[in-house]
Amino acid sequence: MSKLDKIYEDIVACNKCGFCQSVCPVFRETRMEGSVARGRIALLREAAEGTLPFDEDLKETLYGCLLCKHCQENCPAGVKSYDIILKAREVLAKEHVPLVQRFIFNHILQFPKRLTLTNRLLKLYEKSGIRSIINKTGMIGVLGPVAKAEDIIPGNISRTFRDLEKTLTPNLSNTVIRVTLFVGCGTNLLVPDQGIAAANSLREFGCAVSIPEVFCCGLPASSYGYTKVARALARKNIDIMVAENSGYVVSDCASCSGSVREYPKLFDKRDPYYVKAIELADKVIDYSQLVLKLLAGRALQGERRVVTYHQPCHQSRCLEVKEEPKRLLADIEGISFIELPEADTCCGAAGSYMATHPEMSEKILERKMENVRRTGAAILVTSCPACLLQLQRGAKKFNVPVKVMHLAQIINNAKP
Amino acid sequence: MSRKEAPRWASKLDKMLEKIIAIVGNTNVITDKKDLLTYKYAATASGMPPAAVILPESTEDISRILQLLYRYEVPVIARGAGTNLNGGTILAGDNGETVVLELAKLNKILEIDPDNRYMLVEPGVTNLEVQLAAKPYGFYYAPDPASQQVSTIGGNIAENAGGPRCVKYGVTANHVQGLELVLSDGRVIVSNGPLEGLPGYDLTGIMHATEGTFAVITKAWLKLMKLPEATKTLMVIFDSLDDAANSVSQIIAQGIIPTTLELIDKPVLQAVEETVKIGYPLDAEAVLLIEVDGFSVALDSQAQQIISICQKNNVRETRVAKNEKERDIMWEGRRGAVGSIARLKPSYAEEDITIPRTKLPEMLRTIARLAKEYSLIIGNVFHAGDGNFHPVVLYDERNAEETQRVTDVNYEIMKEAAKLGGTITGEHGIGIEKLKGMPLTFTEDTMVFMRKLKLAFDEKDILNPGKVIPANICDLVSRSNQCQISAERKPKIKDFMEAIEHVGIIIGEAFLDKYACHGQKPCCAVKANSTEDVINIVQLANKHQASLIPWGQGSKSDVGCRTVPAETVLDLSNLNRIIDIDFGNLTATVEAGVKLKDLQRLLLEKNLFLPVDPIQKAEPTIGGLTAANSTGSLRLQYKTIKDMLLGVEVVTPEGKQIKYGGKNIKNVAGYDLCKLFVGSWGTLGIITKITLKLFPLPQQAIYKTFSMEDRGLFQSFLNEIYTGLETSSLDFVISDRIYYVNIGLSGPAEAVDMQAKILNGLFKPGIKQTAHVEDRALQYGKSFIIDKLPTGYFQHSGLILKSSLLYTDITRWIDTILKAAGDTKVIIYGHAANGIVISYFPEVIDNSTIRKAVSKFEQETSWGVHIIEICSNQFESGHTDARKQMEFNSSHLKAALDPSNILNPGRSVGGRYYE
Repeated sequence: MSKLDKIYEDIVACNKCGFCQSVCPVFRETRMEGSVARGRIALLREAAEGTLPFDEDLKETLYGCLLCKHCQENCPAGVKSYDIILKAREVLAKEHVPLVQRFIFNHILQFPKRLTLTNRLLKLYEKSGIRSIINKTGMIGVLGPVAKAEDIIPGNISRTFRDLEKTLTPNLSNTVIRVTLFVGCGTNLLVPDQGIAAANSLREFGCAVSIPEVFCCGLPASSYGYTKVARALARKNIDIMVAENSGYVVSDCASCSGSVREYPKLFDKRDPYYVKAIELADKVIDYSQLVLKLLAGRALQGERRVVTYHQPCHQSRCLEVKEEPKRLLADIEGISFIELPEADTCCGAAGSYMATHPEMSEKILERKMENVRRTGAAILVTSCPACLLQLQRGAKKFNVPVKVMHLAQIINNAKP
Repeated sequence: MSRKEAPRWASKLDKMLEKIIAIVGNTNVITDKKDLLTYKYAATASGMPPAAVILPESTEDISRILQLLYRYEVPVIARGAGTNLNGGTILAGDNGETVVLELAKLNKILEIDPDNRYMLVEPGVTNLEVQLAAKPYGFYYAPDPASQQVSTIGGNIAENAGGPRCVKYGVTANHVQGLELVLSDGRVIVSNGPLEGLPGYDLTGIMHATEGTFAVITKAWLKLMKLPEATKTLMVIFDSLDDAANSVSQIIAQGIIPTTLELIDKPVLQAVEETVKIGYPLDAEAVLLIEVDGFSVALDSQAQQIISICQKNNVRETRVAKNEKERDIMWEGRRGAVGSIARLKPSYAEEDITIPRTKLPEMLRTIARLAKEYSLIIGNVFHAGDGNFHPVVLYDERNAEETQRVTDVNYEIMKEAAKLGGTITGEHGIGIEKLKGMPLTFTEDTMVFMRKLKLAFDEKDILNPGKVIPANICDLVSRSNQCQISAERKPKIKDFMEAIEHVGIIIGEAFLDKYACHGQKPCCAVKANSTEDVINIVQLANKHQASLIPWGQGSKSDVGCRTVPAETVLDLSNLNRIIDIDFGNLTATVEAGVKLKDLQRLLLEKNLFLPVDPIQKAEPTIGGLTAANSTGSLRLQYKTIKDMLLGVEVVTPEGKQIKYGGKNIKNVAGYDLCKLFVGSWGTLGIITKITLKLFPLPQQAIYKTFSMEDRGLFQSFLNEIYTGLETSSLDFVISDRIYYVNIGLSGPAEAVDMQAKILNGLFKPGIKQTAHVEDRALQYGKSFIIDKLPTGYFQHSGLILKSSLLYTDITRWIDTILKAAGDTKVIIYGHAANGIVISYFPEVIDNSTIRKAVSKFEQETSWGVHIIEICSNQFESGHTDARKQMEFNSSHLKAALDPSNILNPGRSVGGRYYE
C-alpha cells in the first residue's frame, strides 16, 4: 500500500512512551516533538498510512536526525529508529535525487583517487572561494568524511596517510597475530597521525598489521539513502579484506568499523556476499578491545595528566563498546582518568550533519565542551576522526583548555 | 489549508498568534501543519492536532500569553514531555483552535538548598534530573514514576505521579512544598514557596492531579530527603498468587513498611525470562520484589521478618541480593517487565487501578477471570504494596474487534475496582481515556462540585477543557457568576430556628456560653445526630439565608478571626461513630465528631496509631483536626493530616452530600477534594466522615531533652542534630532564657540504639540532659512542649504569633523576638526541622514592637510568613506572596463554592495574616 511498507511493522512498534526525549541531543536543544524519534516516527506512520504525503516535505524529518542511535539503545519497546530513518532516507532518495548528490555518490565516493583529488582541490581552492560554492550547492552535505572537514580542515595537512605509509614502523619478524587495519577516508585524508599511531602501536604490541587500500566504508552513502552505492562499496571492501585472511579487522575510526560490522544488513540472505559479510563482521574488533587483549593485564606508563574520554556513537552503539576505552585509559599508570558526563552523547559532528546543520551541530558541541570543561581534563581522548576534528574545533571555539587526541596516540606514546 | 476553507476562528487565532510571536519570538511558535501533527498524541491516545504550539521560556511569557488566550477565549493545553497515559495533553474534542503551551523550555533547576532541604525547579525539569542533582548533596526526591527519565516535574504534579517507592514515602503531593502558578487570566500566584504550615486553602495540594485544568505550574519547591544509609532487596517466589498477595498485606499489617513491594505474575515473568535472564522459575505463579531501606544495622532483622511472613505463606524460594550487582539484576526484571510482555503483541494497554491492599487476591482472581472471558492476554506487574494494579492488556490496535474487547475489559476492570472499594485510577489520571469511569466512583453531586471548583480557578474554561469531568456534568454547571459573594445575606434567624427544631437538637439558651467565639455567644446552636441532619440543616440555612459554624469541641474556635458575628453553631459532636478500623489495610473511617483520644485508644491496643499530636490540652475531634490540619511535634516524621487523609464525606454549602476517596493510598480520580477540605476551617463544606491512613507504632522510641543557657550553644547543638541525625521529632522551647531541645528517635530498635549513641557523642559542656523518656506511643514530643507553656496559652489569652520560616532563619527569628520582647515575658517553642516557630506573649504586647521586629526580619530574609493565631489587638503589615495567596483564596474559592456565604462567613482560614 505504501512505499514505506517494508518498515511499517517497525514503525508501529513505537508505543509513544517518549523515552527517546531523554537521550536525543537534537531534542535537548529544540525541545520540539518533531525533532525526536517519537515525532519522526509518528510522521512516517502518517506517511505510511497515507494521511501525509511522503515527499520532500519530510526531508528535514529524516535528515534532522544525527543517526547517533541513542534513542534506539534507550527504547523500552525495542523500536529500531536508526534503521527506520535510514530506510526512509533510502526510499526518499530513490525519488528525489539532487544531481550533485548523485554525481558525488556515483562518480567520486566510489573512487579513492578521485576522492583524494577532491580533497586536494578543496584545499587548493579554499582561498579562492570554492568553499562557499560547495556549501551553497549542498555538495558539502554529501561529501561525507571530506565534508566533515569543511571549516575545520586542519591547516597543517600536507600529505595523506597513504603518502606517509612508508614512514611506519615495520612489522616485527616473528609475529603470530594477524590484523587488518582499515584506514578510512577521514584518517587518510585529514588526520593521518591517528592512523599511524594505530598501526605503529599495534605493531609494537606484536601484531602483523596489513593495511590494504580500501574503499570508502560506505557509511556516507547509506546515510544518504544510497544503499546501492553502499552495497557496491561493501562488496569491494569485503573482497579486499577477506583476502587478507587476518584474525582481526580493526580501525582507528569507530564509524568505519561500525559500518563494516553492519555490512550484513546491506545484503539479502541469498546474496553470496551475505555470508562473507558475516564472516568479516565477526572479525571486526574495536581498537581498545584489541589493545586490552594484547596487553593481557600488563600496565602501561603514561604522562601524569588528567584525561577524559568522549565515546563516539558508532563505538558505543554499533560496536557496542563502552567500558574498554575508559578502562584502557584508567589503567595507564600516571594518567588520572575522569569520567566525562554524557560521554556517549553525540558531539554533533555526525558525518556531514555538522555541515548541513551547522547551528544545531554547534549547540550540541557547546554542551559537549561544557561537560568537558567541567571535568577539568587536560586531554580529551576519542576514537573517531570526525569526532576528533569536531572536538578540536569545539575546544577552540568555546575556549576549553584541552588537547584532543586519538586513543591510539595515547597508547602509542605510553611506555610498556 | 486555503483561506477559503479556513474555519471561523482562524482569523481571530492569527491575530492572537501574531501577538504571541511578539512575546516569545518566531522560533517558539509552531504553526507548520506537519509539525503540529506531532502534538496530536501522547503516550497512549491520539486526537486532533492543535492549531499552534507555543514554547514560552519564562513565567512572564506564560503570564502574558495566558492574558491573551483569556481575552480571546482560546483553549490551551499545558504540556511537558507528553508521556501521560490517559490522553491528558491531547485535544479532547474537535475544537481545532486549541493551542498547546509546551513547557519543555522551562527546564532549569533554579536552586538547591541542602540546609533547608528543598530544590526549586521549573516545570520542564525531568524527575531524573532532580534525582541526579540532589544526589551529590546526599539527598533524593522520593516520587519515582517509571517514566522518570523523561516525565517532567510539572507533569508529575499535574498527574500526582507515584512510583514504586510510594508504599513508604507517598506520592508527589506529599513531596511538593510550594508552587508558583499562573492562573488562566495571567495572574501569577506563589503558594507556600519553601515554607510549611501556612494558613489559607492548600493551593499547592489542590493543584495535584488537576491535569492542567486549574492553572499552569511555573515553579515548584520540592522537598528533599536524606538518602537512606542502606537498602536491602529481596526476591521472593511463590507457587500461588494468593500466597503472594496474602504475604503483601501481612507484611504491612505487621508494621513493616518496605520502600517498594512489587508483584510480577506468571505471564509477565515468563516474558521477562525470555528477554533478560533473571532466573525466574517458569512454572512459578508470582514473584515479589521487596526492598527495605534505612540504617544498615536495622535491615537484617526487617528482612528476616519479611522472610518469615513469606514462609508462613508457603514461599517457594527466597533470594536476598548480596551486592549491588545482584540487586540490579533483580530490578532489571521489574524494569523490563512491561517492555518484555509488550513485545508479545504489537500494542498494549496499561490499566491503572488501586484497591485496598487486603483485596489483592480477589482482584487478581477477577482479572484472571476477565482475561479468560474476553480472550485476551493480561499480565500483572504492579505496585502491590499500595494496591496499585497495572494490568497489561496485549492486543493489535489494527484489529478493531480486538481493540474493542480491550476497551471493554478495561472498563470491566475499573468497575470491579470500584466495587471492591478501590479507585479507577491510582497514578495515571483521568484525562479523556477514563472519563467514562468517573460515574463508577463519583456521584453526580460530587462531580458537579468538582466542576465548580475547576471553574473557580478557570471561569472561562480555557485550561485543558474536556478533561477530568465528563461533558454531561460540565453541562450542568453554568459558567457565569462564579466569583462574587452575594452582596448581602438577609438572615431570617427566627424562621430558621423554627425550621430546624424538627431536625436537630436545639441547644438551650443557657448553654450557649459553651459556643462563644472571641467571647461572643451565637444566636443559637443546634446539634446534629446524623449526616442527614447536617444535610437538612444546611439546606434550611440556605432557605433562610442563615449562616452556620461547624463545631466539634470548639478547641480552636478562637484561632484566627471572624469578621461576621456568629449566628448559628452546628454542633457535630454527636456524629461520633467509629465506622471501621481496617487493620489489614491500615485505615480508619470515622465520623467527624469522634474524639482523637477515643480513636487513639482503640488503635493503641492493636499497636497502631494516628500520628497527630496538636499542642493543646482540650480534646479535639477528628473533624476539627482535619478542618484545621492541626498537628504538632510528630509532623517531622509523619507530616500532617493532609498527608494521611484518604477519603472525606462532606456536606456542601448548598446542602448536598459529596464523597471523595476511600481507603486507597494512591488515588488520582477526579480532583483531590481531601486537599481542598483539609485545613479549610469549615468555610467550604462540613466534613462529616473521614478516612485516614494509620501507622504502626515504632518498635522502639525514645525522647531525650537537653537544656542550655547559651544561645550559641543552642544553635550549634540544634544544627548538629538536624544534620547528623534522623530524628522523628526535633522541638525546642525557650522559656526564662533557658533553651530546651527535645529529640525524638524512633524506629527499629537497632536504629534507635545506634542514633542514641551518636546523640551521646554530641554532648558538650554547658548542656544538661533533663529528661530521657521511653514512649512508643510517641506522645512525649507534645507533652514536652505543653509542660512548659503557662495555662494562659491554653485559655487563649495573650498573643500567639505563629511563624513559618526556613530552618536556617530560626535562630535569627528567635533573637528578633527575644529582643523585641525585652522585659516582657515570652515563651517560644517550635518544630525546628519544619521551620515552625510559635511565640507566646502571655500579656498582649504593644503592636508597634512586634511590627518593627517583623519588618526588620523581613528585610533580612527572603521567606517568612507570620500569622496571629490568638490576639485581641489589631496588627498590620505582612508578606506580599502570602497576601496574594490570601486574596485569591477569599475572592475565588470561597465565592465560587459558597456564593451565599453560608458556612463560617468572615472566618480567617487558619489564622490572621500579620497585617
